[in-house]
Amino acid sequence: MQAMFRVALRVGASLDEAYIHVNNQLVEDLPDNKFLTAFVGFLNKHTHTIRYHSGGQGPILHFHADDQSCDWHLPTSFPLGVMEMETIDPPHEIKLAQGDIFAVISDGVYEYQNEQGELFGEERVAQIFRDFKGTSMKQLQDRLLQAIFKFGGEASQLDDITIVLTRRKVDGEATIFMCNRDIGELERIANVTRAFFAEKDIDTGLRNVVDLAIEELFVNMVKYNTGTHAKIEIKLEPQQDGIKVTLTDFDVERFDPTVHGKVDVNAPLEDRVPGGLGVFLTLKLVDSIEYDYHDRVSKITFIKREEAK
Amino acid sequence: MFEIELSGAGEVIVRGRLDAAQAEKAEAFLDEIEGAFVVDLSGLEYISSAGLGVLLKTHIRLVSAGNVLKLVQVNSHINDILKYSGFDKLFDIEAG
Repeated sequence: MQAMFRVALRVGASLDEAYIHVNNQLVEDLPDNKFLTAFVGFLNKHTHTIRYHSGGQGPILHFHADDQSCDWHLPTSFPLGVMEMETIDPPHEIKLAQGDIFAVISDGVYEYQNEQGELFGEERVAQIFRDFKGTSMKQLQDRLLQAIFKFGGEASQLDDITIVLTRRKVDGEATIFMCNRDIGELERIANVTRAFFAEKDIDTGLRNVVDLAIEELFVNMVKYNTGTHAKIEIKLEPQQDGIKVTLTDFDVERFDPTVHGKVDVNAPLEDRVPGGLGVFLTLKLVDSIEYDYHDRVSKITFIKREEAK
Repeated sequence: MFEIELSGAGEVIVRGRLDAAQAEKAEAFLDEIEGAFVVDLSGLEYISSAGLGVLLKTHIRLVSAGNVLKLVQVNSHINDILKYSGFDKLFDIEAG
């Protein structure tokens, strides 16, 4: 069904046309006792609006960041494949404010039953959103799943679970991403940094220095913190006149690269050896750098500012 | 993206980003060159210490055989990195 929608939209059908034709095709193809629930929509990243049809899929959750309230939207139509249609009501449209979350969560969550036959319900979902609204969508999803399975206890899961979460960023907020312990990640890191500079309108003249500092510190972590497989977290934060970057390495021994950046750059060629330069260059090029270590978590933060004009 | 090749004029042409992930590719190429060589860095957008290490290793090998590695068309960012690392005292560098 996903492929049917993609093809319809690819060949120029509107959301309404695609929905009607996919529905009518499924009526032809499916046995009389079969139907499908589905959500299909477009996110406009410029206007921060979502236009969608929801065939029997609901409730659709719009979590408001400002007052932590929840709007629960009913399906816009019946499930696909039930009966033919010639027209359809216009798509539902939701505008997301900064920090708002739009959630498509299947009934396998709302109707998850515990041993006493109680349903997980909408209010428990809403409480998880209120409690963990500031976390990443991956963490929020994990928290929701943990809460569901804890609620269910020994009861068997009766239905499949789908959770799709979309959050509108707050202006000026950080970008956080996780990297495998592999230098092959450097290209992706550079791409994320490039996009961050463009999105936050940070002076691109700082980019090569920031890329270099991230690379040198990241490669150090990969090379020297070998006793773990945990991913390395990179956080990019806009500053008024530059950028702040934090690399966090989990479950590792203490290793402070900021005290190892000693290289004699005036040594003659015969005394120079490859290596050791990376941290030296980082210390030289960034405006400030700090190292923190506790609970086996190693954290390096540096700031790079624009040159005073 | 990183590319390294020999031009028709016999210069080594380097383009793109020479980071730790690409250093092995650069090293494999430069290990094959012998004699005095000019490396055109006009297309090099970025270099890290791993890339500098490859240039240094090649330079040491060539100098020990009585040759030299000359870096030409060096942009201001790469030039800064070469200066901060003291490589401007080791290499023959021509700014772009």
